[in-house]
This record gives sequence, C-alpha cells and structure tokens, in this order.
Amino acid sequence: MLTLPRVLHFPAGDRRFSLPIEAVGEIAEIRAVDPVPGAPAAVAGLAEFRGRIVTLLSLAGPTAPAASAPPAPLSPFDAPVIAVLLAGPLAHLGVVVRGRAGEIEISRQVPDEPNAAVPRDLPVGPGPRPFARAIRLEDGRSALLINPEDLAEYATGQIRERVRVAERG
Amino acid sequence: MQLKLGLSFLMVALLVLAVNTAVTRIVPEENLLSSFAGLVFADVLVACVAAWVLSRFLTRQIRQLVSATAVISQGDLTRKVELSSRDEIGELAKSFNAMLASLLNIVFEVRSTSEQIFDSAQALSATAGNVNSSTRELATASRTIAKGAEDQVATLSRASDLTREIALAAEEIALKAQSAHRSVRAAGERARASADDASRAKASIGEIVEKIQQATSSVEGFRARALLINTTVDFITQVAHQTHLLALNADIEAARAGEEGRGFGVIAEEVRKLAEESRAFAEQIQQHSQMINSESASVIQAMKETTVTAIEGKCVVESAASALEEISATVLATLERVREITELTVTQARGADGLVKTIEETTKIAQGNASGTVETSAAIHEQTAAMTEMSASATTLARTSDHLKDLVTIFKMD
Repeated sequence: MLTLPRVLHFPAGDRRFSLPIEAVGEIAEIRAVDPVPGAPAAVAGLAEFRGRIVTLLSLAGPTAPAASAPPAPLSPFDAPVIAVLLAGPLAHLGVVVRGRAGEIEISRQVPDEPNAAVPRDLPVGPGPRPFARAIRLEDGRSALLINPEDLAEYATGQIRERVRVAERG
Repeated sequence: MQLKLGLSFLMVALLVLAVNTAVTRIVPEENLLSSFAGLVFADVLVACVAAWVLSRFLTRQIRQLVSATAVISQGDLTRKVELSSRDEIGELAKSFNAMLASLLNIVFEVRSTSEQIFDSAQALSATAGNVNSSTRELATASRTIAKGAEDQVATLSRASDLTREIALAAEEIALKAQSAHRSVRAAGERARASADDASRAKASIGEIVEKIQQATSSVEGFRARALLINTTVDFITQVAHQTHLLALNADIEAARAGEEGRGFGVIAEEVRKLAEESRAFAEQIQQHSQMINSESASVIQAMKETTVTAIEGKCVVESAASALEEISATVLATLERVREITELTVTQARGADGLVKTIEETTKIAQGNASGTVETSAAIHEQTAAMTEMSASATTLARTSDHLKDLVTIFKMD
C-alpha cells in the first residue's frame, strides 16, 4: 500500500505552506527576533535559539499577491513568534509562521494531480523553478510545498542582490 | 182776650137766647112757626149787631197790630205795638212786641253773624284758595313722591333681585368654600402621607444604594476572581500551546525516527490532540472568562451608574420630601385660611339671606308707601276737588251772607 508522505503545513501570510516532515527540524517559539537593517523582505530577522543563531525567513512578503498589503515587519517588542526550523544542514534557517500554533498541522500529501496549476505570482528562485509548488492535502485543502534547498538559494540570492545594490549605491 | 171774646160771644149768645126767649114768650105757640123766620131774622140781626160791635172792637186793635206789622214788614223793627189792653189782643201785642224784640235781636245777630259769615266766608275762600294752591303743590309733591316711590319700588325690586343673586352666589361660594376646605384638608393629608412615603422612599433608596454598593463590591471581587481565572486560563493556554508544540516536535521526531517512532508518533498525536482540546477548552474558558469579565465590567458600570442614579434619586427624594413637608405645612396653613374663609362665607351667606329678607320687606314697605302715596295723591285730588268745592261753597256762602246782609239791611234796628 502506498504510504502518502507526511508534511507539516502552516500558515504564512495569506497562503498555507508545507514542508516535508523529514525536512523539519523543530517547531520553536522564538521570544525575540532582531530585524536586520537593510535586509530583503524575505529575511524577517535573526534570533538566538538554544545557543545558535537562526535566520528567520518570512514567506508572507515575497509570496503574497501583489494586491495584498505587505505584512508588518517584526520587531523585538512583538510577542514571541513561532518558527519552523529546518533540519539537517539548513538548521540555521527557519520559516516564520504567521498564525497560531494550533494552525500548524501534520497531514499527508495526496498525489500530485497532473496539470496542476502553479500560482503565477510565486517568486522564482535562482533556478528555473520556484522554491514551492502546489500540493493537496488529504483533508482536501491545498498548500505550497517548500523545497528547503530552493528556499535557501532564494534567500541567499535575495541577500546578495541587496548587498550588490548597497555597494552600488 | 180769650175771656173777653168768650164773654162777648156769651153775651151774644145770651142776647140771642134772650131774644128767642122773648120772642117765644111773646109770640103764641101757634105762631111760632110763622114767627120762626122773624125769630131767625131777629137772631141774625142780633148776631150781626153783636158781630159788628165785636168786630169794631177787635178790628181796631187788630188794625193796630196790622199797621205795626206792616211797618215791621217794611223792615222797621223799631216800631212797637202800643196796646195796653189786657185781653188777648193785648197779650198778642205784648207777644208781638216780644217777638219783635226777639226778631230784632235775631236780625241783629243775623246781621252780625252774616257779617261774620261773610268775613269768614271771605277768609274761608281765601284760605280755601291757599289750601287749594297748597293742595295742588301737595298733589304735585305727592305725585313726585308717588313717582319716587314707584322708582324706589322698582329700584328695590332690582336690588332685591341682585341681592337674591348675591345671596345665591354667596351660598354657592360657601358651598364651594366648604368643598375647597374638604379638598384642601384631603390634600394636606395626602401631602403628609406623601411626605411620609418620601421619607420611607428616601430610607429605602438609601438601603438600595448601600446594597448596590455592596453588590458592586461583590461584583468587583467577582471580576477580580475572573481576572485570576484569565491568568490561569492564559497559563493553561500557554501550557496547551507549548504542549501542542511539543506534540508537533514529538511527531516530527517520530516521523524522523521512521518505523520505530511510530508508537511515539501516536502518543505524540494523542498528546497533540489533548493539547488541542486543552487549548480549545482553555480558549472557551477564556472566552467565558472574558465574557464574564466584560459583563462584570458592564454590571459594575451599570451598578455604579445605578448607584449614581440612586444617589441622585435619593437627593431628589430628599428634595421631594422637603418640598412635601413644606407643601404639607403650607396646605395646613391654607386649610386654616380656607376654614376661616368658609366660616366667613357662611356668615356672608346668612347675612345675604337676611339682606334679601330686609330688602323684600323694604320693598313691601315701599310698595305700601307707593300705594299709600297713590292713595294720598288720589285723596289730595279729592281734597283739591273738595277744596275747590269748598272754595266755591265759601264763595257761594259769601255771596249768600252778603245777600243775607243785604236782606238784613232792609230792617231798621235803631
């Protein structure tokens, strides 16, 4: 019997994102997030968690539809945020959850539908494909499945672009 | 005279008898019848002679009387009959003289009386004229008085009607004053009762305010408990939140552990569900607590507002109680005034009734006076007519006395 893969899905902005369960290291409640001046919108800030520095990425800004209002930037004075920390070599990265802990769920992913429509407004990473793709969960809801490596490359590309711009000008 | 005439007639009769006797004696009986005529002739002759003698005697005195009477008839009352015979003609003469003297006195008296009568008649006529003019003036005045009496009657009638209306109005006022007295007394009693009610209301409101304040304190304590519940619920929610995260992480580790972590994943799933339920219940509790807190705040606010309103109401009730006390005192004072007014109006009504009766009696008297005045006027008219007649009679009497005096002047008395 085919076992459907399990994913961790959570809200980020107006969309629901998911990560393969194997790619998730931990769900943590970050008490304080330090914003990085001049950082791109995809970088929410830096946080200290169990002795290590974690770069928190915000998926609400880059992936929000153009017509929607951009999310408010995080500040050290905000309430603790929930972040999904990646596992393995990407443990220094985490994704900010824009919602309650109760909205973070583990479900199974149903097989991809052929000719599934891909949101056109997803940012394109350095590669030819975006860092997330649409999937359907077993409860019928849809979500965007993140590729952690593509997400890392996307964030790194954003930082480099910002540095280049800063150096230029 | 009577004796003399008697004797004369006796002598004549004796003479005739004697003649008859003589004839009888003389003449034989068989010639008596044929001598009767002669006898009769002799008797008649004797009688005639006797009559002639007597008549000559009597006539002479009577002629004296007649002449005296003729003179007297001419008015000379000084003429006396000078006859001193002792017979009846002398007595007649004496009586005639006495009568003449009496007649003279009478005429004298009549003349003097007629003069007096004339003078009196003149005076009476003048007086009648004066009385007549005075009577006319009196009649005029009487008519004026009668008119005035009629006007007085009319005025008194109007006054009587007005006074009757005033009396009725006074009586009505008295009745209304009595009704007002009863109403004011009832109002005073109600004011007193209201003042007592206001005092009781003030006391009740004070108790209500105190109880509301106590209830407010209780609710505030209750709200404080609700806040503590919120704090506890927040902690529970936080625990549930952390538990949920732990369950998620446990699930993640179980998934990473693979097959060996399946049981742990189940446990983690159960823990996550428990955490979710706890969070849900905590959320419900928090919602209820927030509702309780909100409603408690609303209740406290309402109680505070109610307290303020009750205090304001207490002030209003106190003010109303004071006002009712003043009203009660004023009503009692007014009651006393109304009682006095009622008594005065009753007295006024009685006085008006008496006045009506008095005016009615006065009207009757005036009507009597008017009638009497009319009668007086009529009497004066009659008197005027009588005085006119009297004046005419006086005039007639004067004329009559004057005529009588003229007649009396015919007589010569000295």
